[in-house]
Amino acid sequence: MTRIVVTGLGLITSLGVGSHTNWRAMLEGKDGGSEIPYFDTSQYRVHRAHVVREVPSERFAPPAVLPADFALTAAREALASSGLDLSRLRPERVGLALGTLGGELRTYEAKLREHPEQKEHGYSAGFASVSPVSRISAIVAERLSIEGPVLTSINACSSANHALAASFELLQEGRVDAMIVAGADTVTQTGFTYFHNLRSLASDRVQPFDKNRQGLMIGEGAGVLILEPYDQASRRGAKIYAEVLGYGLSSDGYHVTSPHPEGRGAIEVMQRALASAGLEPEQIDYVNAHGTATPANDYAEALALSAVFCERARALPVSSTKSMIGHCMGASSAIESVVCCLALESQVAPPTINFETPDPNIDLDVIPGRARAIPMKYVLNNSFAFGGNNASVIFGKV
Amino acid sequence: MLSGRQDSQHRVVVTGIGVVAPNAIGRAGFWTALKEGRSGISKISGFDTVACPASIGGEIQNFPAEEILGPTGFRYVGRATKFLCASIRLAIEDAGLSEGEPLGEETGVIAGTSFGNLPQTTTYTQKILTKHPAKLLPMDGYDGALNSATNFASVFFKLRACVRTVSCGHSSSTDAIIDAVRMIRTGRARRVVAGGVEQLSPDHLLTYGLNGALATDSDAVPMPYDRKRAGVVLGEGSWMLMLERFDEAQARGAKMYGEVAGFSSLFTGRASATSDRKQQRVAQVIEMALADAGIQPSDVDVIVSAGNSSTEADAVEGRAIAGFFGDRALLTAPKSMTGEIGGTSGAMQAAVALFSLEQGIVPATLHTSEVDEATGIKRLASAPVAMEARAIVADTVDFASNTACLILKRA
Repeated sequence: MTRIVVTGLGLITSLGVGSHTNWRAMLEGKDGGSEIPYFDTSQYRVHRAHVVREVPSERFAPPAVLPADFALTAAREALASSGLDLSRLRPERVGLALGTLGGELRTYEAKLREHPEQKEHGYSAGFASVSPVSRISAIVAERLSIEGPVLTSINACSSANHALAASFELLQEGRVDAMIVAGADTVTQTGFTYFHNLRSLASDRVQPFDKNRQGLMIGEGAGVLILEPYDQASRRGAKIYAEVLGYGLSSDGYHVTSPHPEGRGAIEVMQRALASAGLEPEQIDYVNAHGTATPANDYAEALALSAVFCERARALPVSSTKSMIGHCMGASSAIESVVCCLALESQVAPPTINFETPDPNIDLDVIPGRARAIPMKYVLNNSFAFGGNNASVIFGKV
Repeated sequence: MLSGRQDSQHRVVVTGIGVVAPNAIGRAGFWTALKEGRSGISKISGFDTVACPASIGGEIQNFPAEEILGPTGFRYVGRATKFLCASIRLAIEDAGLSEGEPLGEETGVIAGTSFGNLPQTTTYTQKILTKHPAKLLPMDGYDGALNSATNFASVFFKLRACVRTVSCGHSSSTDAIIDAVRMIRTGRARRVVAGGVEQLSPDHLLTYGLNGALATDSDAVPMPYDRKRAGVVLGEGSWMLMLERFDEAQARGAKMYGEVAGFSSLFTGRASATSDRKQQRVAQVIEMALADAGIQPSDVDVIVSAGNSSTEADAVEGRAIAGFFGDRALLTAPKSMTGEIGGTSGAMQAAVALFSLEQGIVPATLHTSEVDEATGIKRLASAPVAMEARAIVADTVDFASNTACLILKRA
């Protein structure tokens, strides 16, 4: 088996642009929530989300910034930090795997608002240039001069971990020399309304694992990782953030929105990730939880963690960075994978903020309030999407 | 089930095929439609096309939803979800397997789709913008995520090894099938039902229309590679293949339609690429797939091509194919029967290839009367041709996404 490592990282979230900016803010336990500027929220119970406030675009001026722009910003940072010179690789051997939940909808929504009486009014040349969703990956691939495989993964909240898993396999097969793994999503009125009407949204702040947690807050942004074989990375003296030791995939087969009540799919996905990485549960030093702060997810996730990690679950550091950046949908598992790499690099685990009252049914060390220095060799990144679409990745320190 | 990575070059075969097509429902029905050369193109009747740039398509009319799916459980889901569930059910049955356990635990589902449930998403968006949020019904957005169809199917059939949706334009289901072969070879699933789904909708018509790809005449038909071709005619449907290991299929005495002997996939979506460059890339994908399968161009007898009546793509793909196979291989373009079915193209074309392998017949390409010389195509089946093919190429092309290729052989 080829060892696959992470050599570049890029981030853009409600906490700002760039991995360093984001990491600093996470270590300080900052909350990136704010009022939603994109559409009128007066008719909703909730008015806040985790929006990207510094809006970069190399293609359009705001507010026409799209998932492709988020992905490009983060990808350029990741490529720069990796020092990977794409011109020195055969172009068809560098690929892109991009995960997204909603693709681009804001363009459609903005146009349709002008004449909402017929849905065809939402269609414009602008929207047709970024639809279907694979066109977003095409924009990013073209800008980065990618000529290898380009995959678009639409798996809701697990999209980017799927993209990472697919990239891992392409590298294992030796079909590519490097993969750019990305996740990107924007806050849309459609997505917001969907969760709002499911009564899944918190109005104020995200409180994962807290007894009084109200739900998730929609977030947006992008995370990017550069993956390449270890031999190639070390030959060129690249900085190695982490190794991708393995991953697990599972499917609850239970319900379209609710997780299996005993966390069956979540248990399976973590066990498969451990088996894939050749690790025992007790070797995991930190878990970046899916931790959306919905009553259902956090309970099922805690149950699953308990089943997989047994008595150790109570002492195992588990935090949800969604407390600081919201739930960035298809981008979340990419962003959280980047966070795992940063945690391994600095040997500091990010906190779960807004944690005030422990839930008697959830017995976890959530790293409340403040980041914590922890010796970490192996970390686990969970993503559990609607429909029980589960994907977990294990990173190791090199 | 799994105890870590099991890398192998396990041979992966197709043991079941589920078909929901504009010209047939079910694998046997599709086989008959291919033999007869039945067109699935008609005037669209399922939705109002007055605001759409085309009014004709490969629409599935009188879809026997209740007959295949049963009377309940599908009330809140849309077209794509129903098609996908139907084709999965039919694939499982065609493979001689039973739904439920132990199938569910060991089997994954990977579906490719270009637009996914976008039509359901935009319907929801429109409701949001015209009604007070409090007046929306809880189930309004139920089927409205891009990947909702696959998710629903995984829950309905309790397919638990993995669930994944891939969206790479016209190569979506080709990439999905490739993914499935990988899952089986690495031991992550014992079996995968893989392929794709695409629905016909105003969203599809408007997008293709705005991108200048559609044939807009009210009596347009898809005429791949024809001198008079004027753009694509869209279609819909779902083709799903049951994929499993050769040794396991053999052990249970399963019928094997064929083997996925090799594959490749590359990005061909550079907007700035010239036609020559695109042709070179398509040729590169085919070359890589042949190398992957360990076969020579001279071993290929049939090409089930992506020809969809598009003015540029037919010429580019045609020339790439001609460059490899000259007049040695016989070409058929089944999108002439179904229309451009987007994300489920690769699965449909693979099904046609498997039909050819099993039946010894290359189906006709409909509507094409005069092959455009500029496409370079030398041998296009204009009537069904009897042929015992050794290896068949199925290539999907999308100049806004990927070009991908499968090589299929008898198992």
